[in-house]
Amino acid sequence: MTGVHIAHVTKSYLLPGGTRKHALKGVDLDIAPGEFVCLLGPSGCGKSTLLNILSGLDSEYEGVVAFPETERLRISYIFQEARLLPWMTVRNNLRFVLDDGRGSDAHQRIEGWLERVGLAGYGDYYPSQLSVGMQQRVSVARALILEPELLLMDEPFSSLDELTSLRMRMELLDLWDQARPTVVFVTHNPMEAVYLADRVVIMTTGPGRISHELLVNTELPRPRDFEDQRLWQLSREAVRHLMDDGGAGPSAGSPIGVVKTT
Amino acid sequence: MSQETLGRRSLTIRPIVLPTGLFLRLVGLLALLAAWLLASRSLGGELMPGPVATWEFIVREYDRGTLFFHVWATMRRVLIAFSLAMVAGAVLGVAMGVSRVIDQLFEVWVVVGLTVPRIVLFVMAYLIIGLNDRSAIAALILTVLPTIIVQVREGTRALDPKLIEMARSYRRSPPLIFRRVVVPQLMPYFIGTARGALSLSWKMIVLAELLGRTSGVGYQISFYFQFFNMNGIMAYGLTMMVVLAIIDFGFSGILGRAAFRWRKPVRLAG
Repeated sequence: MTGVHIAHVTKSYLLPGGTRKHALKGVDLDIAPGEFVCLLGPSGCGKSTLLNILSGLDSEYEGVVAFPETERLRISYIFQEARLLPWMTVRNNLRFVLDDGRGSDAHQRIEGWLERVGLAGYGDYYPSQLSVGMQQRVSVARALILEPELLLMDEPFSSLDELTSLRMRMELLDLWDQARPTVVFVTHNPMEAVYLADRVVIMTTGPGRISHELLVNTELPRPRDFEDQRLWQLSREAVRHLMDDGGAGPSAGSPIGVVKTT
Repeated sequence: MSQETLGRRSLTIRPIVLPTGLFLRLVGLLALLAAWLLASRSLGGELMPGPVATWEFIVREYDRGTLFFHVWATMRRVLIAFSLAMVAGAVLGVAMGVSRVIDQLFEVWVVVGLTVPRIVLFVMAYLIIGLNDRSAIAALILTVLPTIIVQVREGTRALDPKLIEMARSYRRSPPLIFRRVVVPQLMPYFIGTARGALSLSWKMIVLAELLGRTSGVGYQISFYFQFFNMNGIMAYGLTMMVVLAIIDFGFSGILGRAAFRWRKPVRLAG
C-alpha cells in the first residue's frame, strides 16, 4: 500500500505552428494509502495523461510526483483494452509479468488468480478464443497477480456491455477489498465513479485540471448497493459539476486548452 | 437439387467425390500437362521434349550424379547468401523502422539497391572480385537485401505501441520486450519476406551461374544451350522448380503454422 503525492503537475505539448497545448496544468492531488480514487471527467481533460505519468510511462512533465520510499514500487496498469499478447496463452500472459515466472509457486499463483477472476480451466486458451469480457478478466488477473501497491485503471470496463461491466465492478471491489491497494481509476461514467470510489476527483478541460472533489466515503459506507438512492444523488451531483465545467456537453472534444505561447 | 426437377432433361448429377478445391487444382495440373504434351507434339521432341522424355533425362542425370552435384552447388550459394541477407536485412530493417535518423541516412542506399539492374551487380562483382563463388554470393546478397530491408521496416512501423506500452508499464526489461512482444509481431513480415527473398535468390543465382560459374543449375543450362539440347534445359529447369516449390511449401506451411498457431480461431462452446 502506498500513498501518492502529486503537486503542480503540468504537461504540455508543442503543436506544429508554435502553439502549446496543455494536457494538464497545475494538478495537485494527495492520495492516501489504500484509497480508491476515481478521476472523472470528459475526454481531453488529461485524466489518462495523469495515469501515464503515475505509471512511469510518461516521464516528461513538470511538477512533483512522489511515492513513499520503497525498494521498488509495485504498480499494475489495467487498460481500456485488455492488451494481452495474442501469441501467448492466458497462462503465459500472466507469467509474462512475473519476475519468477518459471518458479514453482508461480504456477500455483497463476492458477489461483485465474480461478479468482472466474477463468479456471482457461489457462491454455489464446486471447482470441475468449470474449472481450473474459479477456479483460485476464488483464485484471495479470494486474493483481503482482499484488500491486498501486493499481492504475484506465476506463477498464467501458468497452464491455452494461451487464458484464456491472458484474465486473462488483468483482473488482471484492478483489480490491482483499488486499486494499491504492487505486487510481479513470472513467467518464459518473455512476461508475461514485459506486467504486472513496473519493471522486472531477477534472475539466482547457487546460486539464481538477475542478471538484466528491467525498463518497463519508456519505456511502461500503459495501454499496447499486439500488441505493444516495448513489444516484451523488452521481447527479457529479454530473452537475461536470455540466458546470462545461466539459460534459457535446463540445467536450473541441480544442479548448490551446493557448498561444509568447 | 433433386432428381425430379432435372428429370425432364434426363440429367443425372453424380456427386463429386473429391473436395472441390483439390479437384479444381488437379484439373489445372492436368491441363498444364496436356498443354505441354500438345506443344511437344506440334513442335517436335527436339524443340520441346515431352514430360516422359524430360523425366527420363532427369533420372539419367541423377544416376550419373551430375544432377545432385549441380543442384547442390546452386542451393549452397543460395542458402549462404539468403541467410546472410536475412540477418543483415532484419537488423537494418528494424533499425530503419525504429529510428528516423537511420531511415533517412540509408534511404538513398535502399532506393539505389531496389532500382539497380540485378545483372549489373553480378557483372560488376565478377569484374571486381573475380570469377568465383564469393563474388556470386556477394552480388546475390546485394540483390535481395533491399527488398528484405523494406519489408522488415514496414513491419517494424506497424508494431502495436499499445502492447509495448503495456509491457513497459509492467517494468519488463527491453530484451524481454524485444523477444516476447516485438519479434512475434514481426514474424509474419519475416516469413513473408523470406519467401520472396528465397525465390528471388534462386532465380538470380541461375543467371549468375550462366554468366560466370562452372557449376550449378545455371551453368548446366548454359552448357546444354550450347549443344542445343532442350531436354537438358527442361530437366534442370523443372528440377529447380520442384526444389523451390518444396522449400516454399516448408516456409509457408510448417513454419507459418508454427508461428501463427495463436491466430487460428477455435470455436468455444457457449
